[in-house]
Amino acid sequence: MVSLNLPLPVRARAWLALLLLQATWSYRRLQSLGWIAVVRPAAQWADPVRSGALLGKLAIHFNTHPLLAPLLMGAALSELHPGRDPDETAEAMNRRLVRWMGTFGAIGDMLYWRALQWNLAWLAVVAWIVAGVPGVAFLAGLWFSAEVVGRITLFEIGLRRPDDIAVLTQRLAGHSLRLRLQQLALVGTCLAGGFAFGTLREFGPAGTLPELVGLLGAGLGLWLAVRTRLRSAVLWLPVLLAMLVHLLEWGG
Amino acid sequence: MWVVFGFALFASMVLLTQSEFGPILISRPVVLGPLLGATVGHAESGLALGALLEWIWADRVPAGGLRTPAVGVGTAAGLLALWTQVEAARPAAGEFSLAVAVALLYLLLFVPLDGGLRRLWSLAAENVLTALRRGSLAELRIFGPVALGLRILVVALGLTTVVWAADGLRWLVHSTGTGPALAAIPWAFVVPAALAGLVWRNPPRGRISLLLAAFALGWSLTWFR
Repeated sequence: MVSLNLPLPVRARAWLALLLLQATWSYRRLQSLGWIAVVRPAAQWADPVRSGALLGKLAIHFNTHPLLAPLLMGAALSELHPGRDPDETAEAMNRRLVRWMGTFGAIGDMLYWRALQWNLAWLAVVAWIVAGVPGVAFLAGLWFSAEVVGRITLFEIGLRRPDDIAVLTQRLAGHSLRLRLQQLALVGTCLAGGFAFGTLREFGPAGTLPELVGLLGAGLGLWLAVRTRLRSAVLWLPVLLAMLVHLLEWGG
Repeated sequence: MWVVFGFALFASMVLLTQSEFGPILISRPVVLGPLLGATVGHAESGLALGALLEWIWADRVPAGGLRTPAVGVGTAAGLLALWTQVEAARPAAGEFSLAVAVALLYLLLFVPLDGGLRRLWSLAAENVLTALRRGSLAELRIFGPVALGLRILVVALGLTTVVWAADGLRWLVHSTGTGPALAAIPWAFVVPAALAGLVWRNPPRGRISLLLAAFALGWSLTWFR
């Protein structure tokens, strides 16, 4: 078989499409249309006549974490060879997808929402402390670029070294990486939270009574949040208590 | 009103990096808050509002169909309320509480309303998938840009209604005389409570004293601004 060597314009269209993987065209939160949009430029380049048939066979199921999906999509695209039968291509692509979609979903969720997200939040507050709005804007720009370039890089790795997925997955799934990121995030979050606490005190009422009410309300809210997993209790209990005390104090 | 709509449109495009483009994390409240706030002269209020909403649901993972509270939308809505209701750079306690009330209202409303719209889009997506299986690509080419454009527009229009929501809330507060009660809410304590909940659900490997020291250090930094 002739090996696939996608020209840059075709790969660039795939890069843009992979950034829109989880767009509104998701069907019941599955990303099948997003996946098809990534494959389409390459499929049309490799076999303009039979690309429609191939895409029809791929429009079945695609659902994984958008952060790691490019790695998988690149690996699946490496099965695309000019002149290859669409049935055979679809079979080979789907085999790669089925093998890794679930794993990448789990790893991505843990890494992205619980590690990277928490770290960005505290870094944003530190950026504010150091340089105000320009600092936060710089961080946002840097993070945006890193996520975009990171996804494109993963796509290229998957495309050029599809059989290295297992090794890469092992590294990403490593307990120590995620744990270190989370531990760092917890410390950073407390630092940022302390600063936020000090800032928010200036937006609220002054005085001992409001502080005591706030403390009591937050404590009760935390107790409820921990006992019932009703996270929002830390928000509405202090509010409820403060309004109640105030209304009682002033006789409604 | 066009300026408000323009802000809402810009905010929608940034917000939708959470779900449409990427996702990319810059739509988080503590990032979005100061940046959007700076465009309307309320950068510090934006940070305060973002920090209030950031950590309460920080460990809820939007996987398996679970929708998390739309904290980014809430932050943008609260800032719009501040911009249209408050002239001073630092809002009074009652004004800030009003902005938080608007933020919470939109945060609550967004998920069911957006969820309903997404179901409509997914019906259209089903038709596109069916057409694809028949070998037709035309629907795919049209659907993507149209769906994305419409969603940005709908979110922007939704955010623009904040102007009326803020006016309505302000009238309600005035007519019920609950302004002083609103001004008495100590929002600051929500943050350490949210952090404590987060740490409780995700216990650290190291010492809690390190976390407390970090909190104290962060708090002390506000004295040197």
